[in-house]
Amino acid sequence: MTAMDEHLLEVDDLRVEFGRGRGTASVLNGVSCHVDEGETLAVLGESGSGKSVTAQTIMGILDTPPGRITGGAVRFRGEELLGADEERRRLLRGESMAMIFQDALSALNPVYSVGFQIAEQFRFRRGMSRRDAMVRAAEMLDLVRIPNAKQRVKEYPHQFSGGMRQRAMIAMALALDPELLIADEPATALDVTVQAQIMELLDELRRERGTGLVLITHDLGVVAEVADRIAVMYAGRIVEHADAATLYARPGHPYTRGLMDSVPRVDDAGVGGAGAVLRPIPGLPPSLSAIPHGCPFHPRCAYAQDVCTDEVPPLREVGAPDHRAACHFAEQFVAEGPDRPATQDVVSG
Amino acid sequence: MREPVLSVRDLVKHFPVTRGVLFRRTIGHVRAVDGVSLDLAPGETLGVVGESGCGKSTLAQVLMRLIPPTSGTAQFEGEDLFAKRGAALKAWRRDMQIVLQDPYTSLNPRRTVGDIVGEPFDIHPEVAPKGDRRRRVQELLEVVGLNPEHIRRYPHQFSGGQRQRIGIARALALRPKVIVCDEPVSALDVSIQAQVLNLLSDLQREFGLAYLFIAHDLGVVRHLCDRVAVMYLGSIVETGTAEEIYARASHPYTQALLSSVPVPDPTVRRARIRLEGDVPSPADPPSGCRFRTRCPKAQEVCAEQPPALGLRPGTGHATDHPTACHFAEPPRLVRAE
Repeated sequence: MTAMDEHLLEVDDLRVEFGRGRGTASVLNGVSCHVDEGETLAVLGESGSGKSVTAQTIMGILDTPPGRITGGAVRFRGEELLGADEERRRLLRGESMAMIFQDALSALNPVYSVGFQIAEQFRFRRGMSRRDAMVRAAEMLDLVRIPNAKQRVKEYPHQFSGGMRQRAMIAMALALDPELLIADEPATALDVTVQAQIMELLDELRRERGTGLVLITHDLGVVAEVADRIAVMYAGRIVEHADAATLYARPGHPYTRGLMDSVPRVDDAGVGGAGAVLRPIPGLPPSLSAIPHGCPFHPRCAYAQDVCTDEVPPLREVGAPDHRAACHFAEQFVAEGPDRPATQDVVSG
Repeated sequence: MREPVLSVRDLVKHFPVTRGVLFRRTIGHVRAVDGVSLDLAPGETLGVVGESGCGKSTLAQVLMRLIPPTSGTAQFEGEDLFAKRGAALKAWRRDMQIVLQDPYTSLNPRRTVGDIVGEPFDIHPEVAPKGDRRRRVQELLEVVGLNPEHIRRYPHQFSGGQRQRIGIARALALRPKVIVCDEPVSALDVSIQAQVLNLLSDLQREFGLAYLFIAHDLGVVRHLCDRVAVMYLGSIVETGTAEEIYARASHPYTQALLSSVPVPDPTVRRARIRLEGDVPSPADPPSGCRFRTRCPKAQEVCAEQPPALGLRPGTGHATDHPTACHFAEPPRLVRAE
């Protein structure tokens, strides 16, 4: 049944639209990616790039309407999910795939204790008694290193701090030992010291349990620390894909490079201390109901040529194995390395 | 250092915690700001960093005279800031302005950009005569990189980054000497954030502004600031030039904070100082050193004596900048590539 090349999760040419008629927003325009057991795929993008919709579509929790899946496939261990009935999807959620949300306070139910919410899964999926399920819930809280788990299990979400709520949500997601975990900005709302704790915890649990992790984030720093592979999204497309080392050393898409030049780094002295000057990407991301013709990035791109306004660049291999970029001039960028050339007309002719 | 434009000494702001509706009684205090001293020189950027709840936004509000301080003093160009009343207070407000964090809630949705940016001129008509206002507003829009033609548009017609530019234009209108920036870029995407940061440094050069730059993002603060003050639970635990703080942090909290920030480069692997637990409640801060409950170096003395912010000669690890730790020492590790 399992072919050798079968991935844990495979997304193939996924397309999602919101709304109808003239105002139709093309939110996903052919997203393809895959994740295997025990590895971390980071989906990197700014707001509106489609990363959260990708996650929701994979989990089968996209609101339809207003959303509409207009094409593509999502396969979990080879099984097609988009056509599957709700009964089957329900069974897979929690058991095989689970999700961690950004805002734990709104993801947890305020009127039930944290333990009760974790225990529900053991009661309904494993047929445990209330008491046994609560004991298991406490064990889960202990696993995510909540101090005093036995007492804490009876407390309500508002009695937990932000970091502990996020831990509780991780415990809930891992309760039934899923093979795939999707984390949508799991540490974004938290302070840096707590953020570091949460990312470390996720990484450790992934390694111990061999879980495949899809990490959705906008933070280039977090990605550099934990990702095996990275997919950069822009206007509903994956514009670049590579392993972490390759992506940071030799970005092949001008958008990826622009993002890296935009981040003020804690290890760089900056303008106050004669360090690097930020080179922001000019302009704004496009409206998803009016994505520019050709390459969606061309109005903001310093290297855009005529071909960029005419033809959509396909996501294709550029140099290193598994390094793909959707730019007509990707090979040149890869060859140049991370230092952006001083002049703007490098790719003329 | 040059004569500071703003000089704050032992500033304290406590919020009462009350219980009961009919018979309200005070059962405690949230010590949001608990003895903060700082100086801001003309034309410089002082960064105030800290995690949520450390009191940095309360500090901004007290200094803007939006809420009264509990105790402490502040001098603006040598004059007592908290003693100003009436006309003197109004005149001072021209010199110190604020840019707020959330560009979605800090602009009135029912007023046009022209109204919003021109409102300071309504309050201080002596700055721009009535006939001249439209031109002045358009100039301001151009200075912050917006299209002056868009003067009749409403905030919802702009993106987040553009709205933040509107907020900056409004703060610039009266040509202030000091602008307090309270998390001005934390709601923005990275590519837009970089645009706004560059704008802020251009404006500083052009108008000789001093910024009190409040942020939780250590990368942003390092990029923009000349000097940095690190806050924890209402007080400053370490202060110095950006170089001193980022390269030679000597307070264990600063060291932990810096080591927690992920660096966008997979080839850099830094040793991480892991802090356990969460920040204690400012309503019931720990005795002695406030950081001791999470501090890897904590000893008995830390629970008894609150360490003063100062140079620490005689500890064997004299630091070159003020720090509030009994066991301050320069970082041992730097990085392993």
